[in-house]
Amino acid sequence: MMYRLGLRLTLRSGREPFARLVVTAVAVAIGVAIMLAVLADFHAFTASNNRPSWQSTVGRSLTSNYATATTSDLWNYSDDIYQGRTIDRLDVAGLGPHAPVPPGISHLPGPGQYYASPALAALLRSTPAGELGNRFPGRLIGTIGSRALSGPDELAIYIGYAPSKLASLPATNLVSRITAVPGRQLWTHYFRDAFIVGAIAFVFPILILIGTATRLAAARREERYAALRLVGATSRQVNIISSVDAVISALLGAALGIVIFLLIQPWLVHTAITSQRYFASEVNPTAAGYLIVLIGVPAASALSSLLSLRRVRISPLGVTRRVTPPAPALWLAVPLAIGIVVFVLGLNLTNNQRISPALLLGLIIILVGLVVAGPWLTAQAARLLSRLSSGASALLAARRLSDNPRGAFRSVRGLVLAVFLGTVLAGLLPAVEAITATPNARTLSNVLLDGFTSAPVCGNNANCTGSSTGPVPQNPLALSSAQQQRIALRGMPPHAAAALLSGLRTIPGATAIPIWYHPVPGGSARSGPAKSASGGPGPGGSGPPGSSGPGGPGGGIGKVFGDGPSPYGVISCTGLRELKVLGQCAPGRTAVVVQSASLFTDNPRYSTQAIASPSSPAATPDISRLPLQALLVKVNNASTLEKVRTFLVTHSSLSASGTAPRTFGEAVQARAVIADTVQRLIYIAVVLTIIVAGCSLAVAVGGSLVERKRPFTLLRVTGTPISTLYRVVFTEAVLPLVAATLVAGGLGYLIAVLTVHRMAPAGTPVPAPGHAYYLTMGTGLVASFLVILASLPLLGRMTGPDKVRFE
Amino acid sequence: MTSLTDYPTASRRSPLLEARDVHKSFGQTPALAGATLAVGDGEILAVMGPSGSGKSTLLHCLAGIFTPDRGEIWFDDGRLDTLSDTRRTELRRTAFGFVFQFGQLVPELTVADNIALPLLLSGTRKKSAYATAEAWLPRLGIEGLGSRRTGELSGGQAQRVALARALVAKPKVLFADEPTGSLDTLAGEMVMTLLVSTAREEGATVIVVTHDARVAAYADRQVLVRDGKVIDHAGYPVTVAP
Repeated sequence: MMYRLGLRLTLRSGREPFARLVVTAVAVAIGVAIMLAVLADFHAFTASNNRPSWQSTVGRSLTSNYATATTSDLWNYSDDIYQGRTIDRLDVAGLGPHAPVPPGISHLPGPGQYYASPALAALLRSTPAGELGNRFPGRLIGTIGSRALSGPDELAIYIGYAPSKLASLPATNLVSRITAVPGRQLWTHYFRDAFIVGAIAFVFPILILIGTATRLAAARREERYAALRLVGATSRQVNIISSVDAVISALLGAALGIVIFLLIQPWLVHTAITSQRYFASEVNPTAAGYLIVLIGVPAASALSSLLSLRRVRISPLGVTRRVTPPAPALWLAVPLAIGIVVFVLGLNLTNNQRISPALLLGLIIILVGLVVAGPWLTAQAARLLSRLSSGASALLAARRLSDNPRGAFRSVRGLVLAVFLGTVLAGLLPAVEAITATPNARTLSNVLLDGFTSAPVCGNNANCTGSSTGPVPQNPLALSSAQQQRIALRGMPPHAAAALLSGLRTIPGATAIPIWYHPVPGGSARSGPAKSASGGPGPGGSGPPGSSGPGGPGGGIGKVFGDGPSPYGVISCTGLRELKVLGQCAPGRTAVVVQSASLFTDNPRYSTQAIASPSSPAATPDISRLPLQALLVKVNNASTLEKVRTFLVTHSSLSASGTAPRTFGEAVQARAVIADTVQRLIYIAVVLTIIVAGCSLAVAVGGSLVERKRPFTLLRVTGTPISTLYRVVFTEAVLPLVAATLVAGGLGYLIAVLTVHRMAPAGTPVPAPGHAYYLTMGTGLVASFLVILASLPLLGRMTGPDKVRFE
Repeated sequence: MTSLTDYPTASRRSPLLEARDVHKSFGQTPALAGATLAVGDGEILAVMGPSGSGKSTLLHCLAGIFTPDRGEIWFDDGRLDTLSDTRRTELRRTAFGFVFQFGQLVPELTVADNIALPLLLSGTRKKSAYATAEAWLPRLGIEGLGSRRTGELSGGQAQRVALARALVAKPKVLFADEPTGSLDTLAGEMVMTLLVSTAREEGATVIVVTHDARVAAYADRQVLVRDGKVIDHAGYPVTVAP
């Protein structure tokens, strides 16, 4: 009976309850749609990162009787690049019918066959063979399925070989089991943790929006419940009616939210973090997600409604507030202050090698502190407004905010966290860019670098911090161990180098500048006579702080080969004239010794610095008899670049480098892409959070208008201009929004400045957020203002003087 | 039947506020059906009548809250009903004051805030507005309550605050709609005594809508509204003179 009465009161009680039902449902729908989008994105992210990473497979060295291992593959994994995009390349040969098959295909490719990912297959069809296709021997026989790929845009290829042919290539090894554990790139842990924290921070304001919407115009409803009590309804019966009301609006909102989500779902495939795109089939919140929404949201709404009823005593004679909350006290700001102190302490204990736990602890305390201190800050802002302004509208708004700062802050609580984190990031990223952005940063963008020693070129998979898939096992069948070690430490043998250079000269538009091997004076890669005072590479300039040679800090490959490749090289003065940014020889010299290690970093601050100077020591004149350590190739356009790369990939089999030749621009770009993606996603989250906060505020404003209909109407009757009431309501909504944005933004900026001051090299400019930051904040705030403004006409209609008759 | 021109006002002065043959309906329901009334400057008038007779609608038309469907409202020798909403709003703020049965105080504001509000709305400086508001507290016997929230007041105290707020801007006319309707007899008498005395001190005209004969007794003159018309003391409708 009570359920039917509740249904009737919700659906057929006139215009005001119906309007409330619609507003509540729409607000819940917005929250549900965004929540489903976050769940779907998280599912796609998890699915993408939990996919078995065949690239991480590690085999063992070949022995002469490798062919007897009939349940194994010959496996040679490397990465390649096309126009800045990494290609995962696997050269593979099965040794028997039960040899393991990589994911995404049903049979191993035979000799002269290959499988390519759909994106690479499309690229191969549309690109001249001399620029890409010639790198892969054989013909395409099928595409690699999604089980092997992180997204539809991933470029990957499995190339089939005859075992004898593959066994003769360096770095080929024997694999009896393909790795089935998820891949773990350097950033994956950070992204996953950040995603979880971000998702929680993001869902928080959405739940607030849903809760606010459910309690919309609670006071008016409570008056109705009091009337029901007057005619004999028990508290339990009132609770049932209240729950039915909340569940109906939440169910409608949840259904509408699912429809909105389905409309925006196709767009979500582009929100991938660690790949270019997600598979569309994976961007879904899963059945559990839908179930949570369809059951959880109405249940939470009913609970929220019941809780709100607990705060008041509904008697047959009316509604009385159970308690008047005390004004927020100063101690609420204490956790925030503690967080800042802990963060600063943590910052002082942090260096280039180690992030202090206190730093992260401080950051978390600051986040919690911001939420705890919010009501107090809102009350202070309201007090300030009351003190500084003299108008009636400011007085009304300030008093209302002072009266209930917790309620006012509740709607913007999530926004504070989003703005804070967004501002920290916006402050740090320009500093990072400032460190790498030098006047010469782009001067070598059209220069391709190919190393032949075991020093990796920094970039996507093998980067400077040692997250490479691991040292490449030696293949004693290809070359003797001594020969391989010689190549790893010194580079390509002179005769192979001569052939390579000769072939390069036939490509129009390409100018090759070789860097020849030069031994480390004294026999150690870690010390040299010309080492600069800063600890970096010697002749010609300073190196990266903390740099420990081309093998990277801790040097994964360097450890395999003892001291690692020599950081010194010889370059011809003729070649240097082609690349003026790298310095000049003293007049009369033909070749000089330089410290070439800096060329291998992905930071243009170091890779584009001068390596030669007039004081660089002269090298032996007969440089062509030296091993080829690395090659710089200047190209005139993108087509030539890919032709050169294709040539180098197919003609440098005697290379110990596990990485593909890439331009300096591509190395920098690979580093920048992740930062750009993170920045973009955080800004999207900030904009959405601001809009959600704006929606919460608008709903709260709508609710407060319904509750204050009588005093506002009577104020209008007594001559208060409607514009004054507009200002009152607008100020009430906007003040917490702006105050929260300013405080969170200011604190975020302070954290960014402190971090840059402590961590960045001396002379790094004070961080200044870029245009994207201001655009993001501006767009979010303007959108929120518009949402709030959209609710104001309700005020005009509700408080028209003609309404006074019915009060 | 009495015509408007020969209808006596207590002060024998020219009318300050007039309703001439006013009609007003809400949907299909007529509230006023040719109501005519003149109120003299400084007069205290009680408008009485049974529930639903149209007395509150008449007050709202006289105050410019409603515009009549037909007929005219004159105030200070000018048509009021033809003024724009903005102008009528301004008039209500500057020339009229209002006291209602309950709920007209803003709950978030203190007593002083509420009384100062009309002055602040008119652009008076904050300091001056609050000084004026504070000066009204002892006049109405609510001294010491300036910093209280309205929720902490008794019904009688709240109505005295409402009275102070209505008179603080020195209106020419004070409209009171059932000002004692939510009060007990004693508190009602106190409020009416204060209302009449302070209005006389301020020289304000007062129109009180009530169904309580004891409240009406405070007025200089009483009129009755029945079936949407104003009835004179002889029981005839008041009409506009030809």
